Order: sequence, then C-alpha cells, then structure tokens
Amino acid sequence: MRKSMVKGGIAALTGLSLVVAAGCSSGKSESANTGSASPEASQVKIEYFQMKPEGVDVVNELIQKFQESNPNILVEQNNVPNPENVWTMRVSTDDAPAVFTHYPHNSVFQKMAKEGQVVDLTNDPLMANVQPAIAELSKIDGKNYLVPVGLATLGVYYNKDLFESNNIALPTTTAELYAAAEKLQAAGITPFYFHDKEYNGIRQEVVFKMGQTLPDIEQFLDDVMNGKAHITDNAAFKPFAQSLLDIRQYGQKDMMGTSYDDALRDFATGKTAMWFTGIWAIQEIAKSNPDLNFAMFPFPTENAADLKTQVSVDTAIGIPTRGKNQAEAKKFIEFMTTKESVEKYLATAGYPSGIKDVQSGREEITSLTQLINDGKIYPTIERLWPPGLNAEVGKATQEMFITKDIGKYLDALDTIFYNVLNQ
Amino acid sequence: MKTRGFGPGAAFALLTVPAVVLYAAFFLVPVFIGFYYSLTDWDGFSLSYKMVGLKNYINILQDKRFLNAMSFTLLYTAIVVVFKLGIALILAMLLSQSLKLRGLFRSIYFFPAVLSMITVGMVFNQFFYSLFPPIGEALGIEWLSRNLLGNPDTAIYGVALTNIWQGFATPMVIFIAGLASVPKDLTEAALIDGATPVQRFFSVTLPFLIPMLTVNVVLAIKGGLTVFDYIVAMTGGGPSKSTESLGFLIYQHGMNEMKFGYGTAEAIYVFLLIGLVSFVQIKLLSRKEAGQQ
Amino acid sequence: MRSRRLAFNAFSYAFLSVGTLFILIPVYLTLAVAMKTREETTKSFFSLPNSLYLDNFASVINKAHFWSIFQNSVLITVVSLLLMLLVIPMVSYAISRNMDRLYYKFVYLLILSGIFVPFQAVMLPIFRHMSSLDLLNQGGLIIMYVTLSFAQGLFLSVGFLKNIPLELDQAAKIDGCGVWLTFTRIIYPLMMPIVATILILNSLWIWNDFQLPLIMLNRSPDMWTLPLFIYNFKSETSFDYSLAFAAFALSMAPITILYSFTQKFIIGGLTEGSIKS
Repeated sequence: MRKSMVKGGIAALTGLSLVVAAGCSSGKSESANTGSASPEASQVKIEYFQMKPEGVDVVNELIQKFQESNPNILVEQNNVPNPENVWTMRVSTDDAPAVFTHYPHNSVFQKMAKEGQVVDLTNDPLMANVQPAIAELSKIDGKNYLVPVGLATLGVYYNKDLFESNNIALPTTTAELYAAAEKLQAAGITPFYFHDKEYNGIRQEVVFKMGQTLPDIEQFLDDVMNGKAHITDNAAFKPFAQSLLDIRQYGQKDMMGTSYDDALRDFATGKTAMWFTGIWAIQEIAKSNPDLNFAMFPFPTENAADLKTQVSVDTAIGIPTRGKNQAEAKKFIEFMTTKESVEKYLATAGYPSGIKDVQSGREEITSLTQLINDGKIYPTIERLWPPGLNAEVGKATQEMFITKDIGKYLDALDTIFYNVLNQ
Repeated sequence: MKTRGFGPGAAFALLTVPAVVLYAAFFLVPVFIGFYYSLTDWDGFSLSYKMVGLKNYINILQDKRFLNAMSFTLLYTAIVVVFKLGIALILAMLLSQSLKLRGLFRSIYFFPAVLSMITVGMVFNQFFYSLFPPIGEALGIEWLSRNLLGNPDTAIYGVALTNIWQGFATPMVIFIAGLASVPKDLTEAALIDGATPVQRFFSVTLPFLIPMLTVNVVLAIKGGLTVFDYIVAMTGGGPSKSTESLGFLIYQHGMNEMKFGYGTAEAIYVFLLIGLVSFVQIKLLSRKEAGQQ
Repeated sequence: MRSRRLAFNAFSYAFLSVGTLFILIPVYLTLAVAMKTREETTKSFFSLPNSLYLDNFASVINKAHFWSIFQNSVLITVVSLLLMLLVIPMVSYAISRNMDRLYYKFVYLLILSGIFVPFQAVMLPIFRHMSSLDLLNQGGLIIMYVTLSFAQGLFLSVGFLKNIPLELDQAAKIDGCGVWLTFTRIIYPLMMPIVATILILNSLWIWNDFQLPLIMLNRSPDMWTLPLFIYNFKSETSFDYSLAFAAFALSMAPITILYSFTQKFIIGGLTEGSIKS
C-alpha cells in the first residue's frame, strides 16, 4: 500500500510539473517550433491564418520561398477546422492572427470590418496589383479591407463523354438546357444531380440564380429589408421558385438524401451528365477519377445575350487593426499577391484571379474565365444581407423542395427579409 | 472523538479543496458568464450589446423553432435511451454467463465506444446513402429506398440508429459490473426455490442492478438531451430543421447565427429540463435500491 | 434443465456472433477505405481494397506537425487522467463520508448539477475566460478536461463508495490511521474498479474530443490534438476520404491498445470489488 501511495504521489507531481511545463512552453509568447534553430534576436514570427485546406501544401511552398528572401520573418501557416468561427472568436478577444484570409462578402467579416477590427487597405500599395473591377466588387461600404487573390464562380459541370455520345451541344439558353435534359432522360441517363441534403448548396444555387435572373434584385431586396416592400409584391418571385422546382424534375431519385460529397463522387463515376456547383470542385473531381472527361459551362440565361456569371472572392488576405508585426505582415501579403505567387497558388485549383495579368490554370473552366475577363459578371447578392440570413434562405428553400408549396415559400422568404435591417 | 493533529473534519475538508477550487475557477465562472450574457442581446463577437433582462427567456417560450427542437429532442431521447439500454442490458446478461470466448466477445462489443462520434457519423452517412437504399429498393420498401436522413420523417431514426450502435457499449460494461454484484447465493437460493428466470430477474437481480441502472439512465438521458455530434456529422439539423436538437440549436444560435445571448438562455432551459428529468428518475429508482444506505 | 441450459448457450453464441457482424462492419469500412486509393473509394465505398495500400497512412504521418500533434494528444490525455484519478477519489471519499454535513452535501449537489449543463452553452464563455487568463494552450486544456470530468466522476465514485462499508473506516481508525492514511491505504485500493471505469470513460472522451481543442488550441498547429488534425480532411468543399479514414484508423490504434489492457481490469475488478458483508 505504501508503494502505491508513493507511486501515486510521484505520478501526481510529474503530472503537475508537466502541466506547468506545457503551460509555460506554449503560452502567448511565440514559440518557434518549426524545426529551425533557435530564432535570431531580430526574427519576427507571424501567423498566417489560412482558411482553405486545399491550399495548405502550395502555401507552405510559397512560405518557404518567401522566407528565403526574408530570413528575418518566420511565417507559420495555421489552417484550422471551422476557420470562420475561430477567426471571429480570436479577433473579438483581441488575439487576432497577424495575417489572415477571409471573404469580403461574408456578413460577419463585414460587421467586424465596419467595427474597425480590420485594417482599411483602400489606398494601400498592396491593392495596386488588383484588377479594378474586382477591387470594386470587394468593397465594403466603399472601402477595401482584403486583397483579393482568387475568385470563384458557379457553373455546370458536364460529362463530355455522355454529351458526345448523345449528340448534345453545349446549351446557351435555358430552353436548350431543358432540351438537353429531356434528351438525356429519354436515353436513360440522369441529367442532373442535386445535393439538396445540405442547405448550403441550395443557398448557393438560390443566391446565384436570384442574382442572375431577377431584375434589380439588389435594390428590391434592400427595400424589403428596410420594410418598404414585401417579397410577395414582386411578381417575378413565383416563376423563379417554380423554375427551381422544374429543373429538379430532371434530378436523381433521392435528391434530398444526396450530400455534396456524394454528388461529387457520383459525378466523377459518370452517374450523371450535369452537376451545378462551384469551380472549387474541379480538383476533387479530378483526384477522384483522373480518367473523367469533364468541363464546365456557364449556367445559361433565357437569352444568350444576357449571359453573366456570379463572382465571389474566394481567397483574399488582410490584417487586423490590433494585430502585431503589421509591417512584416504587409510584406508577406505583398509577396503573396505578386503575379508569380498567385499563379502558383491558383495553378492546381484553377480559380480565376483578382490580380492583374494572371493566367489562370485549368482548361475545364475556360468558358467561365472568359466571361469573367469580359466583365460579364455580377457580385453575390448575399453580401448585402445581415449575418445568418443566407442560411435561412437556404433552409427555407430546402423546405420548399420537400413541401413543393411555393406560396408558403414566398411567405417564409418575406418573414426572413422583411424589415430585418430596422430591428 | 478528536484525534491529535488535524481533526478528521479538517482533513476531509482538505480533500475537497483541489476539486472545489478547480470547479469554481474554471467551470462556475464560465457558467455565470454565460448566464450573464443570456440577459443581453450579445451576438457573440461585437464590441457592444444591450442588457435585455428576461426578454430572451420570454421569447424562447414562443419560439416555434425552439419548441420543435424540444419535441424532437424529447422523442429522440426516449428512443435512444430505451433501445440503447435495452440492448446493453440484454448483451450484458448474455455476456455475464460463463461462456467460452466471453472475454473476446466483451472486447468486440465494446469497440463502438472506441471510435469518435464524428467517425461513426461519417461511416453511417455512407450506409444510409449507398448501402441501405439498394436493399430498400430490392425489398420494395419505399422509405428505405432513399437516404433515411433525407426525409424529415425518417431522419430522426437514422440518427438514433447511429447513436444506438455506438452508445450501447458503455452502458453494457456498466451493467456487466452491476450484474456481477448480485450475490451468487441469492440466485442459487431462488433457483432452489423454483423461481422462473423471469421471477429471478425481477426479485433477485433487478434490485442489485438499480444503482447501475440509475447511472446508466441519468447518463443516457443526458446524452440524448444534449445530442450534438451526430447531428453535425449526419444532418446538419436538416432536412429543413427537422433534426435540430436543443444542443444543436444552441450551438447554431451561439456560433453561427450570431445570437449568443439568446442561445445561452435556451441552454438554461435545457439545463432545467435535464435537471428535472434526472431528479425525477433518481427519486423513482432509489426507492427500489438494494445495498447499504 | 441441462438441455435447456445448453440450448440457451447455443442461442447465446449464435446471437452474439451475428451481432459481431453488425459491430465489425463499420470498423471494416474504416480500415477498408483507409487502404484504398482515392479512385478506388470513389468507384465503390464498400469494396475490399485491391491491395495492401499503405500510402494513405504514409501521407497522413508525413503531414506537417503530425508527430507533435500526436504527442499533444498523448500528453494531454495522460496528464488529465493522472490528475483526475487523484482528485476525484479524494473529493468523492470526503463527500461520501460526510453526507450529513451541509458543506459536503452542498458541494456534492453543486458539482453534480454540472452534468446538466449542455456544453454548447459554456463553450464561448470558457474560451473568453481562458483567453483572459492566458491559458489557451495544452495546460489550459488539461485543466478544463479535469474540471469537466468532476460531475460524472463524482457521481460514479460516490455511488460506488456506498458499497464500501463504514466499518472499514472505523477499523482503520482503531489501527491509528488518520483520514489521509485511511484513504490511501484502505479506500483508494478498493476503489480501483470505479477508478478504472472513470479512466476508460474519460480517456475515450478526451482522445476523441474535438470541440474543446478547437476553441482552445487553435493558435498554432503545433498545439493541436489528433481530432483537429483529422477534422481538417473534411472541409466545406472537399472531403479527402482516403486520408481522413486513414487518420481515423491511426487514431483508433492507441486507444484500442489502452482498452485491451484495462478491460479485464475493469470488469474483473468490479466483480471482485463488490464487498458483501
């Protein structure tokens, strides 16, 4: 019995000392654990809070390159799960990372920016390389808070082999799209896949289509949010909702049970001819099935002349107002937004870029990048909505897909939007 | 009866000090912080907020979404507790007999508890998407031929099944321990008296099982009422909010919908609910307890 | 009578064996996907692996920070458990022997009521509190795990201690032992079964926990635990099944080993540990 007491005591002491040691060694003071020798006196460490897991490896390569020419700056990339929530928590407790990526159209970010938590970069030399149209698109209340590097858009993935073997030309109008769907369905092929299990995808689709097809939608929704109109006043909403239901007649059997990952895998194995989602899926599809012959075309409008595609800023870099080592952070941003760095970063993902003169990679999306370069774009309308609203829209739409009740859906939308800015 | 040096009173009190200090400093403080914010309209990150008193609490009682979450959570808990503990008890009884390979079986059946909930959720996601539907189609059962999780009426059963698959293991172990505490001489005496297995179970075994049953029921109810990980991994609260549990709703409000004060007020209600339910069932079960005290 | 017993035995074996299938299928799936290439998994999730493909495991292990993350998980789990196994029996013993006194009853109920608090409610306050104390690191996480383990641990231990009769305490006193010696020499060894139970329950929780590390260790990848690392394989736009499941499998291994050592002890100990006067 004595022995066990002694053992217990030693264990406890060891435990306590380990706790103390652990607490001390990884406290707020920067600990250079990146394997290099002990930092020189003048070495500055900055944390790059990077939100895209697909980019981690290429960013690490870029960081190494940056550190070669800037040996006094140590950059540690930190890519956590649920990054947006973590970022918000940290900035609100005055522990913001020195440099980070975020999304200018994200409502929480906008709120933080308006509260002065993010550095205003509007006339900063860091913005000099940015395409003017994109800089304009990323403004919040007329100011730029993030340097846009990568852009995203949504479009229709299509299986080239299935299109060819059924003699289908790329649709340029909605009528042609439906015709193509008819043809495929008659041939026993699932025309579309919809991943309605998660409201996030539905939200993206609704926001995209609202922006693309409903006239003056930003102004109208602004009126509704200010209590000056009701959703139901606008005659265009009913056919819009109907179109969301109509296209799903050409979807797979279990749309509500299919998640984004499931749809991606099934598209990659040729179970469907078309799939509407963002260009961010290209890498994953290619990895899942390198033999798949696929590309994207823009989601068509009623008239081919009106064709435009939604653009959102997918990767953008900024600094917090109360962040440390701002000079070094700015130097890092400067490096990361050069033509060479951006081309390397976007090479595998293939996103179009917000930086001037960058050749964007992948041939699968040439028709989309062409639209972007031609300026036939529009920003995401949800950037003007208060936090949490876009999720509600997604969920309400998901509900409509289940009940098929358009009247109830429009009422739900009205409840979501009406007068919300005055509460 | 005082002894030299430290009286037993002081010694006992000292034994409680580490726990009390830690608990007060690192748990009670956050709880009170949370309670404080439940009286505000704080969104979770802004620099400014207003005190609103009991407004959150009143609004919650009229909030359909909260009431839906409440009814979902209660139904879910009922299903999970009954099946989880039922299966655990049956397995515990089977695994308390003297069988060969008993140890091996016990190890295998504990395995589900070793996996993380997220892992289990993801694996079962695949079952529901690609394994069960073909079976449902072959058998001609309509609701089984689609993803259970994609249908608001059946999603609750999909999540419950996953929870039960993983959740029976720990109660089973606790029941095995409880069954082991039944004195052999009593069971033998009952056998000699000619009691049937059912009679034996209810008059001899059950009273000794009560402590473990109490533990299992309290923990199972708590787990059911605060279900969160499975919802996140499998349905995200959907389709269309039909599987929003109370725990999930609190998280949504606090972290994603920027309504932290409101979410914490909801949590206080959940706290009261769990407390009430546990209190009632402990009282009910302690009447039938065997053993000392 | 004997034939009935044999029949029941046979039934038990059959039932248990069939049940084993249900248990093992998800485990099989985890390992199978871990040993398939991305393309194989895309083609069919459930198929047997084509070969003993170990590249996924290699990729996971070679990811930056993997070993420090693994060490963190081990360190945090072990230290938290050691502290728990010390503090919980101490306070449970004191409370169970003094239930008639107000202070102890109050502490008991206060700690126990913690079981009813949903974690989501205190998540953010814990973050802000620990942030202000500069404890957003492994040490702070250990403190949180130990603190949060009290409610359930106390509940289990006090319940268990009811079965250890006061006569033992009195016998020890007659032998000249004070409270501390009674506790360490007589009581603590008898508590081994419940201590083992608390150990295994909490080790499962801590090893697989994702929420607390997410809010407390997010400042640098060097501080992460395994669940954070694993969760990163799934993002909003991509789910690398192959690596994620390989990481699941790797993360399962240590805890399985721990369990296989302690399981005989828990159940065996609980059997021997019941004292009947």
